[in-house]
Amino acid sequence: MADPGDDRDRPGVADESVSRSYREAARERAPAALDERIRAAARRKPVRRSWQRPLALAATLALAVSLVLQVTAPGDEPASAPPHEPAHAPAADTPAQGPAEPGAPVTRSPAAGTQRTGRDAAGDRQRLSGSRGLSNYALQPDRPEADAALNKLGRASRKAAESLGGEAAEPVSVRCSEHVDDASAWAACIAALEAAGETAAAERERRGWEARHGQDEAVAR
Amino acid sequence: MPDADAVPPPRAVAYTAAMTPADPDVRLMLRYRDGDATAFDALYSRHKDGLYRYLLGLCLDAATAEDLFQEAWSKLIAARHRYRPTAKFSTYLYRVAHNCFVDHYRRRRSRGREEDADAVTLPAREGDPGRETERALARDRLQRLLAELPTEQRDAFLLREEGGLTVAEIAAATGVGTETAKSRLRYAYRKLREGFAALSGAGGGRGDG
Repeated sequence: MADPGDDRDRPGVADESVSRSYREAARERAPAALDERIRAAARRKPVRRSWQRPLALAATLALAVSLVLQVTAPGDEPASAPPHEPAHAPAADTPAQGPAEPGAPVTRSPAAGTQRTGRDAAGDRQRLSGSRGLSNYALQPDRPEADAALNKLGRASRKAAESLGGEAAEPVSVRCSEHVDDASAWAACIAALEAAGETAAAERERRGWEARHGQDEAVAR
Repeated sequence: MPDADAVPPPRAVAYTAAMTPADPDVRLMLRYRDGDATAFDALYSRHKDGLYRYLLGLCLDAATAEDLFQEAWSKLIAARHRYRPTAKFSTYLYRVAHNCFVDHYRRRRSRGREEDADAVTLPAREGDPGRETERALARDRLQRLLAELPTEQRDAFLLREEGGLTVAEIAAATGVGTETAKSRLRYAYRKLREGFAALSGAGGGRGDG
């Protein structure tokens, strides 16, 4: 099949004899069975998988959206956190045990306190820990280190106040109700009240904290 | 079957009359790319035997040659929508076949069978050798002469003889420089010339191998 027009790049004139000898000897033909198979394949319409592209697009979008939600969602919980019970809404409490006003005195019967120590308290702590993230990790249920941490915080605040001498003796003007949503900050505020000698206000805040966060033994005594 | 070179009026084609290439094979391939299956029949008829002989001479094994022959055409069929006429169609076709052979050769080496890569597997002789025709003997001699060539030289020779490729096209198809391709061709022709001469002088006595 060599094109005579391409003879300019022939390696040599004597190669014509080689080509002639080759063509005389090489007369094989493609098998007829292969002919039919290949012609049939050529006539076949290409398979168009129209569902592949939309499916790939949808999968990519779903992955991207879930990734964005995961990254931007507040309050990621640590991987070691135990599984939570379903969140318990405070509105489901009995009217006598509704969320207390932070500044208002809390009248709480021993029976009510006992009731609060169960699922309600756990639900409150869980709600807080779920919405506050790591800062409230110590308030998760079945974590005795939470109480210890709060006690430690109270003692530290008291020591700090004592070291300040006269300044610490002055009434604390901080309104702890500002920290009503932050259990740790609220506890620290209560401890500061106690250190400042405002025991009545500290006790009031402590009851409010317990009513809100259900941690009976948490506040430093 | 329609005339292979007759180009029908353009349908929904991606090229214009002014762009129609001179190579009739390219025109057929473009028609096939655009949906004309009869163009493939014509194209296939023009090249099938040459391509089969190329692969047979390269592999020296009929079964492997058939496999690679089918693989090469299947690749061309599968890639028809991406075909762009940047060179002669024969250059394109033989490059595809060459790549199929290279892939096969690599697969074979990876399986640790490189020691018999150049072993000749000739068709078994049937009946009394004395009754074989002169053509069968000539084919037998040719196969043995080709088997004595290094694969690269055999490849260059077969691309020239079966594909009609120029030195530059052989260089492009095999991925080497022009001088390398020319050197391979020169050595291949020289060895084959000497081999044919020796066989002629010996009266075809090497047919039994």
